[in-house]
Amino acid sequence: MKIVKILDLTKKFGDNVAVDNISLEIEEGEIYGLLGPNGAGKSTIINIICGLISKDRGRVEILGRDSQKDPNFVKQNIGIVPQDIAIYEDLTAYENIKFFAGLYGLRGSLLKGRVEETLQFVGLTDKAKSRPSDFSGGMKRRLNIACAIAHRPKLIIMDEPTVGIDPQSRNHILQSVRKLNEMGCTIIYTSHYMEEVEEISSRVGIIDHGRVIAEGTNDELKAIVTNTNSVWITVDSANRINMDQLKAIKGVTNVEVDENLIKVYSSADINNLDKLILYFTENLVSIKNIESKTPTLESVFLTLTGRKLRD
Amino acid sequence: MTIIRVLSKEIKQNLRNVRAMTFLVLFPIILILVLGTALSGVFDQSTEFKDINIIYSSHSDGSLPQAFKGFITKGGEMGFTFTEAQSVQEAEDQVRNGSFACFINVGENGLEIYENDKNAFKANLVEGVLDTFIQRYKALSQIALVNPVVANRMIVDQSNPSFVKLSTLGEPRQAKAMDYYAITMLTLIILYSSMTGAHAIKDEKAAKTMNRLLCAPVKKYEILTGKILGAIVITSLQVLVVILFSKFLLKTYWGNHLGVISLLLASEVVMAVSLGIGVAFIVRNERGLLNILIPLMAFFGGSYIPLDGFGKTMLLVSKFSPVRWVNEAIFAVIYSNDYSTVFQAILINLCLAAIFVVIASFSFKREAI
Repeated sequence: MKIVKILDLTKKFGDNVAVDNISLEIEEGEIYGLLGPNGAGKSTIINIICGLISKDRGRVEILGRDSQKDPNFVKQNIGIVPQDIAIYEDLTAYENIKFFAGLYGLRGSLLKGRVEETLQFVGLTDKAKSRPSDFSGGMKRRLNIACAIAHRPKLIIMDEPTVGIDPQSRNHILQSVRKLNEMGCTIIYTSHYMEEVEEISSRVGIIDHGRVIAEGTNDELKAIVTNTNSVWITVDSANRINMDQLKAIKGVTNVEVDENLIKVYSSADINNLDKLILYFTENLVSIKNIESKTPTLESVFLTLTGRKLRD
Repeated sequence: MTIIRVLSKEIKQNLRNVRAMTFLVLFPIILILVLGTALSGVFDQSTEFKDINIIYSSHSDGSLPQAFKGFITKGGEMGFTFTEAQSVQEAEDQVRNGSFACFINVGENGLEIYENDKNAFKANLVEGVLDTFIQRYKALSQIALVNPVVANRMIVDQSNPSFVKLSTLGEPRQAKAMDYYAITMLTLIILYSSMTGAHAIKDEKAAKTMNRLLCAPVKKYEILTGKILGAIVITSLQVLVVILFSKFLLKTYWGNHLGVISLLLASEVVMAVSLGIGVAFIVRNERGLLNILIPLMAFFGGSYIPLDGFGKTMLLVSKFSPVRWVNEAIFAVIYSNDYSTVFQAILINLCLAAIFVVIASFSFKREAI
């Protein structure tokens, strides 16, 4: 069953077309990664799904119900984890979850039970009576998630849920996403961290300039760029490297320099590794490490848009 | 149910905001103490009417000019200085240049009082005393119609008790400084509850929780109502603490009609909270605007000093301050058992509240879908 069905969705802000005739379908039980740089239209799509902003044209259906005609049903079945931590600093963790879950109609012992389960789920049971002002960034992020899931929504939308947190909390959150998915929740997950999206998503939609430019499973998307090889070469100093000369080597399509790391992208049908090594040795550049990289969503995005995701 | 949830959250959050709670409770108490002590002399009722010079003209015969002689005698005992005018023109010039507080022209059928705004305070005092005299004169005139002998005896005998009991702030009890500021500082601090209302909206947006609320299956009016009620409950608690403190510890006088006074104060709370919520939706810097509006409303409401002596223009401007109506009504209830302005004051507050709530609702509706 399709839990989200977006058809010809368009939204303009003045002359700026934020969402340009987008159509998307998400199956129940999926973890759908929504990728795109800032301003691509991801948040606008999410805000329209959640009912925070109106659309200019198109149709959004959640669980087969029109979001405009039946907003309460739609809202009842959605849990939103906003990018900015949205919790009350002066309420305890328990009170925060209880308040938000209460807005979805839970009450009495059911509410109490759900709050306790949710605290346990996000690993904050021992902090139930503490206020978020005493929490670390990771704990606040976990509470931010807890406030969105206590009412057991069928669709959870997570907008950059791991921004600015320590690796331990990040892993906890990613595990939580998987667990929620195993429990039957469908998840829309947006992130700047490609590796996260790649790691947990069953399907990915890449958005740019308000349009879906590619969509599919990780493998399907990577297949788009299998005609490109990338070699990452770590050198002692990149100062002696002439970019034009490097790009002139047969097969090289693009070169990026990140301090002493040189990323060379070449056509898959041309093996030019020996020529690359020769170039470095002739220019007296000492090679510290060479890695042949398999395609990632980052390279997919780069190939499709000519830009890095975080440009 | 959503309204109750939002209301309960608002109360909890406000009660935990120790700084704001302390400010809104301690601030009026300290002000009552400071102003009530520092300005006690201004409200001291034993003060004589010194330096109040009155020029008068009373050349005609008749009962009123005769009775006015009695007023001159009584007024002299109270400290007024009377000078008989040579001519009306000269008397008016003297008042115009400020030499006299007022000119009283007594005719057979009535008297006229000529004042200068520069001396409005003194002239008002004279007017007040003169009112008492006229009321007494009218009463005696009525008695004379029935029994002229008795009336004549009463005119001659100035020691006779007053047959007209005036219900003014001065009778039977007058407000001391502490009594005055207990009321005006409380109505002043209620104005600051507009900040509580404004914060209820702004803090929600700042904490990014407003969008989270709007993502839930709740109506916007439920959020707004919960927030307004929450701010009203919190402010009412603060008001209650201040009243109890001033009544039982500072021994200020609140009269015998606390129920009516509570209604008046509650209407001001509703108005102030709604003002804050309305402003929060239409102005970016709500704190700045309220910090200008509140002192102005308080000043023109007579919160800092009574405005009676500031002339007619000031009194006219003061009518635009809702606090003025509340203060006036409370004083009238406490000291005169006069309820005539209560309904008016409550109505003004509730109408203003309705306007601000409509502004807030309209703006809130436009903010998203």
